[in-house]
Amino acid sequence: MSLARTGSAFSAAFISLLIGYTTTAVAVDCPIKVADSSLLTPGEAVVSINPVSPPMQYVDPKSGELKGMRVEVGDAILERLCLKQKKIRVDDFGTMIPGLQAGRWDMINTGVFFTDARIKIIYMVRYENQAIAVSTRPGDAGKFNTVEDLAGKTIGVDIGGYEENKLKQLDQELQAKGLPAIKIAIFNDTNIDYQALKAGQVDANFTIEAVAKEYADRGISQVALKGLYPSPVALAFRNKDFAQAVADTLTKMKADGSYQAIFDKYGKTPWDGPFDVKGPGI
Amino acid sequence: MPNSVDPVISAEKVGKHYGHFRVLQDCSFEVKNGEVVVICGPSGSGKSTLIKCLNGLEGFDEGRIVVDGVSVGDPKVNLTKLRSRVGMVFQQFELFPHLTVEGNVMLAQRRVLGRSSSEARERARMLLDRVGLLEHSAKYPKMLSGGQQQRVAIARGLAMDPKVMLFDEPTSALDPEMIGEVLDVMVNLAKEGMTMVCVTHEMGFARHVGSKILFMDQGTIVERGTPESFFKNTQSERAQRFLKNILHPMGI
Amino acid sequence: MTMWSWSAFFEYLFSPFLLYGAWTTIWLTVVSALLGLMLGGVVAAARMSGIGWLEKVAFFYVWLMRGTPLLVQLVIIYTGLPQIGIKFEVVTCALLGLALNEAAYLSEIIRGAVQSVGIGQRNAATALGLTKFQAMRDVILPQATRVMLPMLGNSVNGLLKTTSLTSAISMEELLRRTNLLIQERFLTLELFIVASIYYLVMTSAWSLVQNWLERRFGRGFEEEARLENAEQR
Repeated sequence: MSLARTGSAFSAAFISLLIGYTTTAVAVDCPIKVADSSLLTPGEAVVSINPVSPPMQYVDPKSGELKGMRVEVGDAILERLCLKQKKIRVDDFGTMIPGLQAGRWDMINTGVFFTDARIKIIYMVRYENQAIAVSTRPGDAGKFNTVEDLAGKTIGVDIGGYEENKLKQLDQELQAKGLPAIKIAIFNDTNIDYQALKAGQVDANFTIEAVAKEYADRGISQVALKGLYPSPVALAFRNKDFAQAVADTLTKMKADGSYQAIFDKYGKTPWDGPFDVKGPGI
Repeated sequence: MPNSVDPVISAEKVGKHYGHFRVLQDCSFEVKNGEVVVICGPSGSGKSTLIKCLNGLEGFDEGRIVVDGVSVGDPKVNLTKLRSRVGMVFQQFELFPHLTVEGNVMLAQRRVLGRSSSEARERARMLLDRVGLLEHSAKYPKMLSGGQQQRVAIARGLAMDPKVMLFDEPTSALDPEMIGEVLDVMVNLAKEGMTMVCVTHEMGFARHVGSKILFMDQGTIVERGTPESFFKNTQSERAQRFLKNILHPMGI
Repeated sequence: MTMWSWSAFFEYLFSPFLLYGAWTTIWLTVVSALLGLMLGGVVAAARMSGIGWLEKVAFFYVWLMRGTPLLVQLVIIYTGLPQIGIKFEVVTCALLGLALNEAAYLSEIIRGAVQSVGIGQRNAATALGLTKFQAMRDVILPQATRVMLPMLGNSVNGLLKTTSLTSAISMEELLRRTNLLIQERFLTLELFIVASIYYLVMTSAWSLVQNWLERRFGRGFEEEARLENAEQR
C-alpha cells in the first residue's frame, strides 16, 4: 500500500497527473502551414493546458470538455495553421514549463505570464494583458484598501507562477518599509486555495484578475484590489519556427477582427503591441 | 474449606459439546493429595480437553469441577488466583522465547506471586538445578533441545509452589532419546509427593509411579483402576485394544 | 533543452532552503508516526477487545481511513472542518491527517502481529496465573513487536515520502520546496536529484534505526546461537 502512495506522490511532482487528452482533426483540403521539423509530431500540435481557472481555461462540469477563452484562442490559431491538436490536461502548473523543455508538448496554452526569467529558456508570444487581484471572503473587501494591508496576514497563492513571485516581491518591499512579514501559503490547486479562503485558513488570495473575477461571480469571494503588477500573458513554445508561425497567425487574426471578437466576448484586455517571438537568442 | 482429607481435584459428571458433537460425556473422578493420576486413550478421546478444563483453559457445559476448593466452572470465580496454585506443562513446551531460561522461570513468580527479583531468581536457580539445567540459565529457549526446554517448563511450573501439577502429553513432541530425561524429572516429582495429573502414552511411567489410571475413549472414562489391575486385568475390550497397539504396535 | 549543470547541483546540494524543507519532512514523519502508532495500538486493541460495538467502531474507522485517499482526508480536515466550526492550524491539520491515516494502516499491522503469536503462548501465560493484561504486556506484545518491526519499518519509510502530500494544503516540506526552487531557474533534473539524495539519506538513517530495533527485539531468536549451542551439547 505504501508503495502506491509514495509512487503517486513522487511522480505527481515530476510530470503531473495526465487526466486525458483530446485530439482534433482538420479538414482534408487545408495545407499544413508549419514545417514538420518544428513539431514533435508532424502535422500535430501537442498543447498543454492547466484547466483550473474559469473562465479562461477550465473543464465543463457537465460535459467534461475543455472550455474557456484560451481554448478558443488556441483552437482558432491552430485551425488557421491546419494543424491537428492534441490537448493534454495538466493538473500542476509547476510542471508545465519543465514538460515543455523535456519535449512533452509543443505549446503551453494556459496564460503564462511573460517574464525575463522565462524568456531565457523558452519562446513566448505575448497576446494579452493581465494583472493580479486580491480576493477576500465576501464582506471582507473593506479590510484591504492598499497592498500594505496584506502585511502580517496569511495570503494564499498558487505555486510556480507569476503571482507567487510578485507576492514574494511585495513581501520584501513591505518588510523593507518595516511592516510585518506576509505568511505565504502556497497551493498546487486554485480550488483548494479558495476553499482555504472560505474556511478561514487564509485571509486573502493573490490570483490573476480573471480567476478572482470568476470566483467572485460565483459568490465564493470578493475582489478587494486589482490591477496589481500588470504584465503581459503569453503562449509558450519550445521551437522558434512554430512560435513565429503562431505570432504571424495572431497578426492576421487581429487584422480580420477575429482576435478582438474573442477578447470582447470575455471582457479581457488584449495585447496592444506587435505579435512577436521573444526567447533565448532573440 | 478444603482440608488435607478432601480430594485436591474433584470432577463430577463433566460434559462438553460443540453443537451435536460430544467432546466429553459424564466424566467423574477424584485426585487425592499426593496421588499421580494418569489419563490415557486414543487420540480424539477428549483427554487433552478434560485436563484443560481443570484449570479453566477450556470451559465445559455440564457437571462440576472443584480444584483446591475452587469451583472452576463458576463464572463469578476469578481463576487467576487458582491458576497460580495449579501448574501446567504443555506438549509444545511453550517457553517464552523472548526471555532467558531463568527469565521464564522468574516471570510469573514476580508478576503473580509478587516475589522480589532476587527472591524469584534464587528460587529459579534452585529449581533449574533440580532439573539439571542450572548452567543454561542465561540461554534463550531456542538454544535448548526439546528435552531441555520441557524440563525448564516443569521448573517454571514448580516455581509457583503449586498444589497440583498438570501434564498434557509432556513427552509426545520429543525425540525418543530425550523422553527419558523428562520422565526422570516427573518420576522424582511424584516420589517427592507432588499431586499430579498426567495425560500421557508413557505406560512405563504409569506403572512406575501412577496411583490410578483412567482410560478414555470418545469422551468418556471407559475404564479405571490401579496400574496393576489396569495392565494385568484389563476389563474393557477398547482398553485392551489400545494397550495392544501401544505396547506391541507391530503385533510382535 | 537543458544540459546538466554541476555548479547548480552543488549549489543546491547544501541549500538552507532545502535543508529546512527536509527538516520539516523529518519532524512531520516522526510525529505522525508516533501518534499513528499510539492510535493504531488503541484501534487494534478495540478490534480485538471482544466488545461488539467497540469492534464495529474500530472496523469502520479502519475501513474509512484506508479506503479514501490521504489527499482527500487532508483537504477535508483543512478546508471542510472549519465550515462546521472546527478549525486547526495548517501544521495541526497536516499532522492530524497523516496520523489518522497512518493509524489505520498500523492498526492492521499490529493486529496481525498480535494474532500471529500462537494460542499456546497465551495458554501458558494464563496457566501460570498471569492476568490478561500481564500476559499481553510480558508475553504477547514482546513477541508481536518482533514480528511487527519489519512491517512498521516499511510503513515509516513510506510515510517519509507520503508527507509530500501535505503540500496540497500548503505545508512547505522537502518536495514542495524543491518544486519552488525549480520555478526559479527551471533546473528540474538537478533539483530532483538533490531532493532524491536528501530522501535517500533520511530513509537510510531510518533503516539503521530499524535494524537496531530488530536486533534488540530479536534477542533469543538468532539462528547462529542455536548452531553454536548444538556443538557444545
